[in-house]
Amino acid sequence: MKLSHGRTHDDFRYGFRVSFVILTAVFFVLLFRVWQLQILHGQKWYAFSEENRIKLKTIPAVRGRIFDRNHKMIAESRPSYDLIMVPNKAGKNIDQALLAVSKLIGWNYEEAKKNYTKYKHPNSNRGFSLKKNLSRNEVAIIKANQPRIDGFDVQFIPTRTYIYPGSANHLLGRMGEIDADAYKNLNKEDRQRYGMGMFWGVSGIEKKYELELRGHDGVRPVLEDVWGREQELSSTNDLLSVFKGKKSIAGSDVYLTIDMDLQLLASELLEGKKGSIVALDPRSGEILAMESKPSYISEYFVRGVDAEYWKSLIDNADKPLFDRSVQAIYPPASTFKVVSAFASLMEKITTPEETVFCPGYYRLGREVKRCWKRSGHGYMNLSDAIKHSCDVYFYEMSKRLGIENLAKYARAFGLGSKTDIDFARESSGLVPDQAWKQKTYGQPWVGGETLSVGIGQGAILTTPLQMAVVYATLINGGRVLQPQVLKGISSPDEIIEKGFQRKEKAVIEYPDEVMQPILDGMQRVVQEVGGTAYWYANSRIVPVAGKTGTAQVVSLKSDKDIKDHAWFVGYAPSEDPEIVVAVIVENGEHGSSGASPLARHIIEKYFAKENI
Amino acid sequence: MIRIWKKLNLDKADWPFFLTVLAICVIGLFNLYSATFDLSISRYFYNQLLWMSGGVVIGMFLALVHYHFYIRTGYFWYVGTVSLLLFVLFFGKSAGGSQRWIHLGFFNLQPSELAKIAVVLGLATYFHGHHQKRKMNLVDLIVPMIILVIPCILIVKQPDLGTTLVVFFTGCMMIWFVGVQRKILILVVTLGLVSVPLAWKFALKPYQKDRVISFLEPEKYADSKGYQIIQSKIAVGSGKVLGKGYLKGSQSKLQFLPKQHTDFVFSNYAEEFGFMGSLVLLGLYFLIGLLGLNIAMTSKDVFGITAAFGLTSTILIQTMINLGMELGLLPVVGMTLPFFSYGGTSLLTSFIALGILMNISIHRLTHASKKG
Repeated sequence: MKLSHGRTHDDFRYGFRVSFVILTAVFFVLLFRVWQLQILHGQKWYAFSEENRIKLKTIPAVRGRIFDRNHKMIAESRPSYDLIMVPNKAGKNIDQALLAVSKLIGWNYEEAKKNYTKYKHPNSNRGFSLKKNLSRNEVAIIKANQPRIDGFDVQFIPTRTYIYPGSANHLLGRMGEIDADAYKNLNKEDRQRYGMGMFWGVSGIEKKYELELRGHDGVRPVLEDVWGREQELSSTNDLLSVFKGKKSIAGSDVYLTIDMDLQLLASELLEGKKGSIVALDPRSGEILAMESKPSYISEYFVRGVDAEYWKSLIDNADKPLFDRSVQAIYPPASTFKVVSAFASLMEKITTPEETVFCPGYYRLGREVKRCWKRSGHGYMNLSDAIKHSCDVYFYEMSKRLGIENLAKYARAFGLGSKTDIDFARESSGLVPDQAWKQKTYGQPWVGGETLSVGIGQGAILTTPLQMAVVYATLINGGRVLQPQVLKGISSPDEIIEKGFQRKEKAVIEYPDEVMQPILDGMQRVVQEVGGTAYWYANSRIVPVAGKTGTAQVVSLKSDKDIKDHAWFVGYAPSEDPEIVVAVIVENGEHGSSGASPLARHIIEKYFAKENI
Repeated sequence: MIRIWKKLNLDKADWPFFLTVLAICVIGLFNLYSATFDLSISRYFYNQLLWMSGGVVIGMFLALVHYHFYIRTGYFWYVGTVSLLLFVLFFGKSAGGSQRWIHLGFFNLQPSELAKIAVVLGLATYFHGHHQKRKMNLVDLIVPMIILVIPCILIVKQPDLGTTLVVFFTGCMMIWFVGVQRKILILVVTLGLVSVPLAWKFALKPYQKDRVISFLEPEKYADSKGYQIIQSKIAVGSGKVLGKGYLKGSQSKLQFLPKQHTDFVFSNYAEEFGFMGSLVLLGLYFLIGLLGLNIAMTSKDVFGITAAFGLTSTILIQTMINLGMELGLLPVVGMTLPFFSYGGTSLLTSFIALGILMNISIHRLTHASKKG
């Protein structure tokens, strides 16, 4: 038979023959295998299938703990027990079964019914948590009555527990259900450790170190009878020896730079207020405390947040979900004056000795700007102006500097950009300049705005953490440090794998004589009679220095009750500082009375501890 | 009616082949009902029924179009599928770590499945148009190998090892079938043996290695990976001679058997129908092999012979890999049993193959055929 191109079927005959032989051979092998499994060893496999139903149960990994810098435990994983229900094994009458079990543990039947209805697979052999967090008593009752309540069992679930529920919630963060997008971005190995419907960290430390904290689930072979009840394991069982299982591996422990005593004090000081306290070590950039209030409670998110609670957080006008330490942006007010002072001396537009007369107001063209002290400060040099927080002095300096110079130094200290703190989603804040104004409003910069920025008002915006970093830079020789909260991560056998390392983002070079008058001024703010924080922040334990600030709140409503935001950024000891504390209290009125006492408490606690 | 029948040459069509496939489909449908008895049965059962009906319609269409349609458009389908594979690699919907799907709203299309057909058509068109009086030497092999390797690379990138193997083996079978010089065959086999350790070291992903290890030593490695193999063996073996009876298989009902409606569908069947049932199903697949080869043998031109051979090979290679895996003879790779497993694209592909095979049978030279 001719085919195209002069070929005949005969050309393919060999191929057909060999194919036929291969086909037959493979099917003989398959047939032999089926015979071997079903007839030769059928009885053995049948026995396995009938008597030994082996399932692999997951042993959930224990989540890594979180410690503070002194190895004080902040978060751990405690055993929690859930009532698990397997609908198909609970008998024909589900209602009766639910009633029986709820009666047994003294639980509301309606609620049991509600939880059951919520489960999506009502006719399933898959178990689900009917009731979470059983008490010890309930666990005991169920275990004791187990033979009589088919389809119900108790399951051990390690659950995240926070030792200090009222504190450090934004820092530690929240747990939440895995979302599909983030899950997709995991690499292959990590993806195997997670599954949809599981919980993981969605903010704060819990999110940042999720992969380290998680650990590895194990599996355990379990012998079940027809009703899904676990049987005693006997090591003589043929099949069991085949399933070895795998131990779960606990997650790594995370050590923070936080000092929990300071953190707790910070939460206590902010209780009932709106605001933030950030304390850090100016020598290394380690965060010692960082608290934002009002806050949510991390504990409530551990196994799925209650819809009502979530709604109450979302609806709350005070925004408890919002981390004021790093996400809120405020005008830095007078705390910014030290940056203006630094800029003035660096640009040599004044000397430490030059004095400016403050009559209580400042004239710029037709505009008149007021000093906060209406009666005026009189003659002020740079150090005096910081001590008294004289606005007029800094109006004059700002005028001489111009906005571009001010912006340049503000940026040098890290304002207007993220501090790159290692765990949080933070705001950059804003350092305004001519180009910004043009771009945002399409209008040229006006001279009066420069004066406002020079005293930390107007368009300039910063986070509390940014201001803490600015002051750290002023007192540590000009090094702009990256603030960090991670001290180290240790595996369960307690070896710290990743130690703390100081990270310098930039260094500001300046002549020696520039800084002294500024530091001098900040000491006098607290330590000299007449300083704005003398009555509030001066401490008998340690010499404190710093700067107050009062940020004007521009209210849209003509609400007379809206008070200014109170700022204080301080440090101690004034020579050789070990701690910087930035405090903002929203509507705290005056930086002196509203914010500086809080900083003093933190500082005193720090040094009281040190001297023990 | 009879005139239309005659006009369409339907008396020449290989009806036994069609009936064999239909038998497998029906058994598969019943088995699926049982395998998903505990899950929401209606969904799986009716979906499958819907897809099968759709498959039959598409198959009928493909069986009745003009025979030369395939020769003329062979490259078109090939290039189209390669484009889809490229598309899916960059924009595909990923699931379980692999990017395999194109979302079409009602249906998630898996172009790698279509590649099984496209490679066969591409190669058959090529062989039809290039006469080869002698057995192919290395130079002759260049073009067919390029046609074969491009889709293979795209599929293995997804990654979908199982489908890559099917496509690659099918192509190799076709090339071998057309005729390759003996020394090249020897060379390839030697190279293949040498490259196994290399592939192990460099090409396989960790989870793929795990599957191989767990296959080789399931008893030592019996956590979740050896688990599938052992549970499948228990299911099949416990069926003994006559099986536990329809809907009475405990392995899959109590969910000891993972993927009991897709990859491990035969285990459920063997558990319920025993050795006798297995014998029937194996016999039906063997028959598909025989009748498929018969269609190839009686085709009227090179395209028909090679395409029919390739399509039959695709179906059988899948069958062999799937059964080998379920019976614990091969490592676990994701592989469905043609016409039997649950799944839209896999069914669709199988029915496309069926349709084209029927078309070739309609246009063959004679009814009469010898087997072998």
